Amino acid sequence: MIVDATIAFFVLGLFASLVRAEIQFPKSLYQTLVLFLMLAIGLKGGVALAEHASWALLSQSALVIILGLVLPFIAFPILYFFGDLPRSDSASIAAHYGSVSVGTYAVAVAFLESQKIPYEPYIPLFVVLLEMPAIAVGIFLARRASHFSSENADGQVHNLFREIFLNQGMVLMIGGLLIGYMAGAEGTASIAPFFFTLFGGALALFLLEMGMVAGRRLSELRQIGSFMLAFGVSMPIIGGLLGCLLGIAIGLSQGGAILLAVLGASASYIAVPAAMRVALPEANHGLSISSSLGVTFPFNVLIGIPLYTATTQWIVGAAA
Amino acid sequence: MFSMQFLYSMVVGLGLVLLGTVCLGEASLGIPLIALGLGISLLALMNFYQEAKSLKLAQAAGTSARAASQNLPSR
Repeated sequence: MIVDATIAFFVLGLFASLVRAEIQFPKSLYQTLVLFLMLAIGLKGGVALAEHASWALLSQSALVIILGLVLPFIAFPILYFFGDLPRSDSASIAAHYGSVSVGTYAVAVAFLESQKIPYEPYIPLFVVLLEMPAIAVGIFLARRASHFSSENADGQVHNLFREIFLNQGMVLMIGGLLIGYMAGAEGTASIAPFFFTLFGGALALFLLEMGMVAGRRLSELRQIGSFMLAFGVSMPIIGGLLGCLLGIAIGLSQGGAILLAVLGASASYIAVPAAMRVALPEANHGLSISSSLGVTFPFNVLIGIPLYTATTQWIVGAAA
Repeated sequence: MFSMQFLYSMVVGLGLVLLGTVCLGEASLGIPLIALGLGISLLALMNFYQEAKSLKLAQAAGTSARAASQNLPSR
């Protein structure tokens, strides 16, 4: 049995947290790793985009954006009607599950590379595209739930705009994409050893910290109850299936469809929480983070990615 | 009366058990799915049992309070 080293780091973090081992992971290192991963993914996608840009990519991108719009509309009724959660909490959590997790995407890329499954190198473009519509739908659901107070409404809209379009993830990934696109493979050759060769090591360190964070969140499972646990597991399966079917429908390779499935399945824990804090200050943000980081992220990393891979391979095999 | 939360959790739990059984050919996938499904179902049943117990206690307290108030001597 071959153990995926990056996922083993996640399990190590989880174990260390559960046995309460004293591991000091500097906050600034975590922030540096997030910054590095976002830039590296953007750059890699930009270089690939320069080589593979085509009109077909435009229609693919439009359909991927539609996926990002649909997912929160599936999550919201489950939370509101089945979960009996307040409208604001349902809207906030639905936005998290409509958006994407760059960390989960990075793990999926490492998994595909370890399995030697080829994929379209321009998928990072879809990561950026999927982040935006989900936040917008989240805001739409949020505005339906609670209108901005008339006093200081301009300031709230301004803050919200900043959180949606100028958040760390958007700026770094779009920036990386543009730099990679303009510089191409030749222009990025000098920084490639840093951003591309060290990617796996940086991801392993990032996952060590994420394992520890997920372990701390696990203790909250008792409080969030069986429904949130069931939602945190079922929603990624629904999103993953939709992403996989869309990937196959728009003509992506098997690896590309797996990555789109992972994007559909993942839940944001960086960009959307910041936006939702501005849009819906009264929502229970702890519940959203516990669900996306304590349930969905570990599920996707440990079980989800192999599950989406097997499902995509099965569907592609059955269709052939 | 079953709550919607309980029903959803049970459906997801049993669905995962079913999915895990289908995936049993790949043990590293099937066994964790079955374990997760059983865990969710068990947690849902425990939550349901606790809710039912607290509801029963509240009803019993209400009944005894009513009985006590009926036994009070009228002025």
